[in-house]
Amino acid sequence: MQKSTFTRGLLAVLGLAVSMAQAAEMRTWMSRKGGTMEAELGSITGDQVVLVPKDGKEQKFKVEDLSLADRQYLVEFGGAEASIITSGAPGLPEKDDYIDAASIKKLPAKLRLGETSSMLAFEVVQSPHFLVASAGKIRGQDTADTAERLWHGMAFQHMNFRKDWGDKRMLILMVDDRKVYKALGEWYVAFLLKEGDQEGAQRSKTVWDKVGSNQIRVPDDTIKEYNLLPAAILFNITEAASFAKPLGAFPTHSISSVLLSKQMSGVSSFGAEGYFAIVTGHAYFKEIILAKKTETHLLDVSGTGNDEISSKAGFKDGTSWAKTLRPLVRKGKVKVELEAMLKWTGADLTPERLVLIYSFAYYMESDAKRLCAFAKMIRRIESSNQIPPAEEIANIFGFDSVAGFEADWKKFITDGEFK
Amino acid sequence: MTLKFPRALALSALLVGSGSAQTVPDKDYRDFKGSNGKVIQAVLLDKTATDAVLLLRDGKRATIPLTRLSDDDQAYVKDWSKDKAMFVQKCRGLAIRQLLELRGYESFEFRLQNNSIFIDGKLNGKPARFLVDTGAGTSLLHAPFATSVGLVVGPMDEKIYGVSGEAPAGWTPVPTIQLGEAVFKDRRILATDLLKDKPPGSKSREDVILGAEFMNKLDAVISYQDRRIFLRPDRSDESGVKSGKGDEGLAFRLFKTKEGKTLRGKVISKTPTAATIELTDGKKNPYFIDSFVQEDEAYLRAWSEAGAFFLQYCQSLTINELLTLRKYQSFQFERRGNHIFVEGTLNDNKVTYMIDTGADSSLLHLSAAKKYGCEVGPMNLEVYGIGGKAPAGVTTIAKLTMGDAVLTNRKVLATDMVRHGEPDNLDYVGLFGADFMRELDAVITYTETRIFLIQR
Repeated sequence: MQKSTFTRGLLAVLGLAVSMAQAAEMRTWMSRKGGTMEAELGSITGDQVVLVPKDGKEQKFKVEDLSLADRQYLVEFGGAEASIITSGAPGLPEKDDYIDAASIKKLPAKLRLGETSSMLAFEVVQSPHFLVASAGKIRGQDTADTAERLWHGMAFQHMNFRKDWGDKRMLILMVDDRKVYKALGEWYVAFLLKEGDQEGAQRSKTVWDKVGSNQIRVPDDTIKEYNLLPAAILFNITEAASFAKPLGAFPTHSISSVLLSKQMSGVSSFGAEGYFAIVTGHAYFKEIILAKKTETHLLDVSGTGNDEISSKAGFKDGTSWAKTLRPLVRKGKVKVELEAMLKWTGADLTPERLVLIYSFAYYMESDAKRLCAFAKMIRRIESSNQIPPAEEIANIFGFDSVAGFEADWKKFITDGEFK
Repeated sequence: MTLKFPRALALSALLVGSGSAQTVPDKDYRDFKGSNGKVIQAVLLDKTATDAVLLLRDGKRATIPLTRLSDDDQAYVKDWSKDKAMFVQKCRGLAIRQLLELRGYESFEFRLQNNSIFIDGKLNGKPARFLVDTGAGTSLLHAPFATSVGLVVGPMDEKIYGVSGEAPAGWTPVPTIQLGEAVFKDRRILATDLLKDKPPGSKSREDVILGAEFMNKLDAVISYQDRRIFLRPDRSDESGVKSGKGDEGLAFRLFKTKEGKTLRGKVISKTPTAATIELTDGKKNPYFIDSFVQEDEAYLRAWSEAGAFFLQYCQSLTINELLTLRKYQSFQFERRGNHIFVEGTLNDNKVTYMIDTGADSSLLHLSAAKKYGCEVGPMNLEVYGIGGKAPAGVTTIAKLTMGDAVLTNRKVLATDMVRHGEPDNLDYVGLFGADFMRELDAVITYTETRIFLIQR
């Protein structure tokens, strides 16, 4: 599963021959470029860390070349100063990730869903953490590349992400053949009904043709056969362009959203307030910063009849969002209020609100110190199954009050790096 | 050179001949001089106002009154701080796993589903999923599963109780329960239909609820951070693992071969392809490293003499000492029956919580929540458990503490935890569940009867 050697992107300062006794646990360390290494922590001195791989040959690395997740580990288990996490710029690990073409390979057999005679047979491409199954003209390699990059970005930031993921793969289904997509929809609704999920079946029927991406449940036997996670991402592809290159806008948005949701794990029905703002903001932030444009429109399925469908997007193109929001915030036409924003859902979204949600994610994830607080917040959600209320979020980000948090966030929009 | 330092001290004669065989002391050792001028090499492990705890060359510990040490050494001990000690700094990176696996514990990596802990074992020789539940006083079988592995569930004329009511259960003779090396024979365990009162379409996540009686018996250690549970197989009814006397008797590790054999011993040397293991019976045999299961093979590949030498020091640490080094704080827990309880506060009132790894989310007893000033919402939600569902309301806890750990602004559910018709005299306020324990990287040790927490 290791992509290649760890030294990629890491400056091995000195190969020490000193036999320094150590007693730490073997764990997977990761560099900014995605290289991994199984090693024990030897020692840490200032900005240098000594790792001891299985062969016992110690290697020295610069702390800042290690992932934020590794640095968090150094603070919690190696007794390092907390400042090592927040030093340096967070960068874009998704862009820095070096994907070894050999790690993405086509499997000889097709993946089948439903009856063996049906048309639901997919070409399969396998990467270290994903299984990309496609039907139609589209091919899975670039999407596997995109998904691996985004996976790397999550593992880079979130200490438990790799451990929580385990040795399973996530299924990504891509369909650009109308007939297959329709047949898949029929199969899926029947599958949900068989599983006793009336509500899910109804919902699927309603949105099936209208969405570009969707999360679906994987049948148990398929999970077993491929060692998969239980939820898959389904892409209903009408425009293939963004799937034919790494980090295309729309797949980046969808996969980012799913990966963050997965890391937050199940959010309880009573703790879901704020979920929409955090996940949506994160997905747009990744889409814009990595793809430099937006292709994603949100579809709101509100009401119980599932017959009201509306499409929402921000002001035209995502790259102009910051420019548009800044004067609105300066003039007080858009209020930077955390508590109100956490209550928003897809149903009451306006372009102004969407862009504010985007600025919230941008604020949280664009600076090393705040990114560290963001990771802490996600870690809290992972076990508590609830989005912390505004006051707690402010505390996690180091503010005594919500007002303090809001003032800093507002300053970020009007006079800061928000662009 | 064999020295019995503590005994010699008792005779008030500080012993070591100055012509010590050890000519180059390892940098971790210090030459301690007794008030009579004699020297001994040791590492200072801990101190109190009157005594120093030393680790001797042979790995044993000795507690020595400060007055028996030279003035220099007394000053050294006085200035010494545990945190700064070089030796200790290195040990703090030690995983609980490394500590326990060297003491005859068997470790199981667990899966978290939501916040619940699952491990694999065998029931009547067949693979089964075990839910690790400190909140279950006794273990329980899922009745349809028990039947499917050939067990005979007795008449359902017993009653078991959960937060939501009661359910019928039947005594079931179980020839064997197996968790790794630990084997329990000829037990009677209650079986119930765990899905009986769940919403339709639910699937059972567990086949067996592993209750506190087994964890007590097996000296279990549960660590959320390591995602492992550690058990002492020698405490079970039948296991090849027999302990010697005291801690010494457990200073071995379990090695499993690919062929399914289990060895007990410690590595004394190795070549690139083979390791020599000194077995518990004193025999020293070489083994091919690749003949072991993956985990043990990795251990052997990573093994080094220097590392083992070092581990030998760290090994004498208790979990308590190790975690204290890592700034964890700990609480002695109170056992009532098989349940474990810890003191804490709820909105600044001193209260008791039950520690429950089986509760995905913490849960308050309704009347206690109200009594201690929690804001309880409408009872329009439900909690599911043994005996079906019960109405519950979203409850905001302004502040909950356990030692120095402070949790603020948390939402939990509150439900009436008292059985119908019984007086409301619960002496604890609710379940301190897996959500809080994960957040605080809890470690629960049945041996040391402590729970450790750290706030990140």
